[in-house]
Amino acid sequence: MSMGRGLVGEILRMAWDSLWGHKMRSVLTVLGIVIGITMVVAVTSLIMGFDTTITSQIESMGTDTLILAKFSIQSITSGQDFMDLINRPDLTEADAETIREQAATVDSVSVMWGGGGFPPSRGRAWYRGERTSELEIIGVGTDFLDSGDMQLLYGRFFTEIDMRQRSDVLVLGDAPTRALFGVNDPIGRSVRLRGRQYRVIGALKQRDISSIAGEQADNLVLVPGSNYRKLFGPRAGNATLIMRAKEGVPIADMQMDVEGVMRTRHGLRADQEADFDLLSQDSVIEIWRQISTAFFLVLVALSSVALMVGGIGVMAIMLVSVTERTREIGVRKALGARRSDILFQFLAESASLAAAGGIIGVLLGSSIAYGVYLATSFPVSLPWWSFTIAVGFSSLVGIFFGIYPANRAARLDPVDALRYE
Amino acid sequence: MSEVEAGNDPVATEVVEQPPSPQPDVPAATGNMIEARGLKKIYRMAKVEVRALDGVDLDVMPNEFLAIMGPSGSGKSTLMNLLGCLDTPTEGTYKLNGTEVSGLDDDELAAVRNREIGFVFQTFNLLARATSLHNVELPLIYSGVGGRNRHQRAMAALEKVGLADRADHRPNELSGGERQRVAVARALVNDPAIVLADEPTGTLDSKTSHEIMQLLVGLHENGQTIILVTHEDDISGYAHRGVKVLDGLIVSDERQTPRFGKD
Ligand SMILES: Nc1ncnc2c1ncn2[C@@H]1O[C@H](COP(=O)(O)OP(=O)(O)O)[C@@H](O)[C@H]1O
Ligand SMILES: [Mg+2]
Repeated sequence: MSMGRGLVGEILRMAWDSLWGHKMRSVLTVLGIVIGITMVVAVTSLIMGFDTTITSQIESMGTDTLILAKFSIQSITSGQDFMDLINRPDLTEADAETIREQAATVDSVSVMWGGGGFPPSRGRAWYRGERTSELEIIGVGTDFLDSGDMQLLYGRFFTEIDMRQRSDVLVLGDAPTRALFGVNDPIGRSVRLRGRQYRVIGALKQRDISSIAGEQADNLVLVPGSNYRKLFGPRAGNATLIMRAKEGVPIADMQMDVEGVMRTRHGLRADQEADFDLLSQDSVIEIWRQISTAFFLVLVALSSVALMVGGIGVMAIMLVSVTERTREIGVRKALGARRSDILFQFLAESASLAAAGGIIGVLLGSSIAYGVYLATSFPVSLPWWSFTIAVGFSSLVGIFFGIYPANRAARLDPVDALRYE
Repeated sequence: MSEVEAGNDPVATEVVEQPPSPQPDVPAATGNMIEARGLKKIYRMAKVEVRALDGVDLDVMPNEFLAIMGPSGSGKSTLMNLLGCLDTPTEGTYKLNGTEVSGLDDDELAAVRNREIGFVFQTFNLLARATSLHNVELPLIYSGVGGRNRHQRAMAALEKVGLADRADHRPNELSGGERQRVAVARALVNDPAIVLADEPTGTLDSKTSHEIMQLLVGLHENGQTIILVTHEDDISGYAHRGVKVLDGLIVSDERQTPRFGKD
């Protein structure tokens, strides 16, 4: 199929004239497409940004690390009954001790309470009228820093004595340290947390992942695990265990080892399902993939509906346009336009109409995502390919829904069209 | 689909290869621009049958200036549409510039119209949003003429009708007479075999009508074949030959001395 350059130019010029000549009508017509594309671009940007954060958070766990939890996103997403999950036995300090003694593949076990767990344990810290934003409050054991990516910058970490005495001492994350003390030395200061006075004994370094995840990753405060119960009472009974494998031990071996120890401890028969979750970096990433994929599918379904509505709007307005321009079509045919010339003219018009809607949607959607970033520093990602797909896809919608009106125009009889009043 | 290009099209090639027509009433190599035989156009409605054309024979030689006359509803426009290849006859044959066109499909007819016919309509039929230049360029666009060549040819056609200085004006910025001049320029731009003008002065005052007719007279003097449809006697008076149509039939066909010449 070949078309003269002049013809392509004419087709584009007429599409532009027609759309620009009916600005308001064009905008209203493509509202559905604008909404659909705005939705896709905004949510995609947020999910993509969130994905980078989550993935790097998961990866900060390290490939030699396993997490043992009463229940987690893993058992929740596998569709188990929530009450069964709640009724699972709590994990305790004693479980940690048993694993240290019996699991030969395990190098170290650190224990923590709260921290990304359920229910969330959060609160603000106060110092002389200054206050922080909501912090993640995590109760930890003495060897907590042995696994994971956190490092001490100032002061000291918790000791066995702190544990035994349930001392009111805490270690601040980088974000609250800056918020309360700026450049001053925080060590030894007295800070209020959930109505209790605490002494600051240490401050953490800014975490590596905060470059991607933002300040959120440093928005935390650590207290001794034994002290955590003073803050959160009975529901603080359940712990999360973070285990690191001995040098050279494959993660699968450690997983079998720990699972065996825990099954024996909980008295499970071979045919019974585990009543705890054992998570590796890979399994967590896999779960996150499944969640974000499901999210995308819902998004695609919703925006398809919007695009469909937009497409029908395009079809309706193109039918109006064809009727309005019946005489013009007759004139063009009299002057030598073939069916295909008329067909392409109207297809170009509906495609440009829909593509314009797509471009507006991309601009709106990325503005929303950027606005969210400015307001909350929530990380967003604006990949160029999502723009290309958005605009390309809306053009396709325009072409698809433009076929019927364009075909109708192309088949008009020139004599009838010229007589049309 | 292929580009429509003058001198390189299937229709023209066909003419060269076709043996002379064996029909005795159509002498070979007459050089006729138009040879129509037994043209009928019958509209079948729910109850009635309208015989808009009921068997018309017509020959037109190159450089004739022909006026088709008749009262309203007599079939003038129907005949014009057939001669202009906008429509196909119910019966009969039509040879235009040596090509039998009654069997052609829509796109082939479009190509013939583009190359052989220049239309001038009663209501001008210019595209409202396009400039004069762009309106005149349209036939060239559909024959695949691009770029500077197209621009030059369109400007030359506008010069012929004396409107080169209105190239950038849109129709609503022009007077009725000027609009019809632009339409004439558009009809001429592709160097058509025939200019077909259906009541070209129907909406113009008598002074402007006279100017438009003078323009057509000038084209005829330069060798253009022109067929004019009108129901006004003083307008048909510009032509050299008068064909009277009544109830779908040609009732008289006479040479005439133009009553109006160039001033
Ligand atoms: N599309 C059509 N359907 C039915 N009848 C038609 C149609 N076009 C023209 N006619 C009829 O054919 C006759 C000739 O019409 P037309 O050629 O337009 O006449 P004129 O141009 O001489 O006024 C009229 O009676 C008209 O009503
Ligand atoms: Mg008429």
